[in-house]
Amino acid sequence: MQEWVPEVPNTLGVDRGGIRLTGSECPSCNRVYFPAMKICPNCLDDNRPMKTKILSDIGKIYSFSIAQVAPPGFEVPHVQAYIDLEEGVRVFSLLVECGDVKKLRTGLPVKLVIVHVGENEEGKERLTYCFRPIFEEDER
Amino acid sequence: MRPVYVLGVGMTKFGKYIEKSLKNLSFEAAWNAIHDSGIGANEIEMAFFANAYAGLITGQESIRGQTVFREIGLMGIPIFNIENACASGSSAFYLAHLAVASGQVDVALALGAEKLFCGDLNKSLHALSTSSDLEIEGRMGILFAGIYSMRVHNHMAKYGLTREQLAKVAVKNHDHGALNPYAQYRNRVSVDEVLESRMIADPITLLMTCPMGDGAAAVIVGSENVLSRLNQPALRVASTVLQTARISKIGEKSIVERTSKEAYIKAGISPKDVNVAEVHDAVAPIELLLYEQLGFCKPGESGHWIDEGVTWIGGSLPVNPSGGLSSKGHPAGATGLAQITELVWHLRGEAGERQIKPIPKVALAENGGGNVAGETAAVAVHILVRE
Repeated sequence: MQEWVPEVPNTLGVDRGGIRLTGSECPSCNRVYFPAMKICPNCLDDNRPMKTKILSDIGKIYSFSIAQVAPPGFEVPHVQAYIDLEEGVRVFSLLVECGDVKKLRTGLPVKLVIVHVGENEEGKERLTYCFRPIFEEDER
Repeated sequence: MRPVYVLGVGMTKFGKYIEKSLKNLSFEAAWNAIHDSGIGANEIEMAFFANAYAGLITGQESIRGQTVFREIGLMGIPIFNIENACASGSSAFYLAHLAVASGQVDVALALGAEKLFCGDLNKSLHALSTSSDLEIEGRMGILFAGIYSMRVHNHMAKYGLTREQLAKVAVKNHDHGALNPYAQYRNRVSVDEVLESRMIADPITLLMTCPMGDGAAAVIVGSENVLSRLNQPALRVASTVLQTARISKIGEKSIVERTSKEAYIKAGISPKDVNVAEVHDAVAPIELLLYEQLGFCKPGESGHWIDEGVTWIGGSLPVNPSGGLSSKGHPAGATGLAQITELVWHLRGEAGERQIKPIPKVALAENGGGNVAGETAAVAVHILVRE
């Protein structure tokens, strides 16, 4: 039995032993949704089930924000971003391990990070996702 | 559907009211609108009460409208409770219009009120944070100011908007608010003051954000036969359109573009015909993006517009002559109806020191609320025409 639960419903799955971002793909119009959806709002057809879609671990920053305030339970600075994945979806995510936030820019590549949030009532690990920037010096 | 006219408007000054309750504020706005219209209160056949957060602030989650209309004295008629976050007021207006347009009633009232100051700031902030999908974006860590910041950031990168241009919107709206006796803030600010105020979510600073506020606004709409016996100009609702969030594919039109396009088509006008607009500047820089999304100017031209003074009172298309959310204030449930109230005053030539001249003929309101899947959860656009 799976020993963990996703903190945000319909966002995480397992592929080749690793925890991955997981969405869904409409078999009719091929739109990809994240978080995964049961019904494609574009087609509204419940006869053809949506396909599970494992998403890329690497994306690019479309836009980001460095806020000096944060929702309760989150740290300051609160760095949030929209990340474009090659499957054609734009994912909302917090950015972690940013180092010098002044170096963040649109188009910067980012990598998926799975984060431990806590445990639920059944003792299962609660997991969520973030992305971390890949600066050029890391790649060398 | 038959034509619908705005018969009466009224509001309270927006601000921080320690001594007044939601009922007190509602009473004042509703009776102001009734007196303004010249109809008898007993002619109101249906009422809609817009409010977003009282359930979390006072605990009055259910039948909020019936409790405030009890104070107002209006009882027995159909009353509906409308909640669409910061677009609750314009949603109530949409429905009041529908009630008259359909022929169901001859006179309908839309009342919006909010009381966010309750002596417990955390309670108020928590209430405001519930206007997103808590199970999804809430757990992802969404911050509203951050969403606006990302939209503005992206536009800066794409079209070269400058920080000074962002600040000028706040300067303009405070200049307008200084002329409005109903505004929460009546002080003027400079570009330097705006840029040097506390950073909230880069590039958005404190003086670019709207304040928390209390207040109420009300609008009465009616049919042509009711209008004909009142001594007032014919202000027709040329269109009222409401849309909700979709999960857009990258590059698809925004909810404001979609909603306003439908509103222009239904009204039979183009964006060039608009003489004055009240728009949802939850943070002042977003107003620039709205000029483009509403079709007032081409993509990338909004920075030039604010530099040239186009949207100042005295410019060719004044936007937010009331001071907008950033200066007039933003008691969520009241905002959409306060926008209509302001526009009606301008269309009638009753806006005092801030009156737009010549007296406008076509006015547009845009009001948005909440966030779902990266889009504003509900957006309403209304177009009013003086006949």
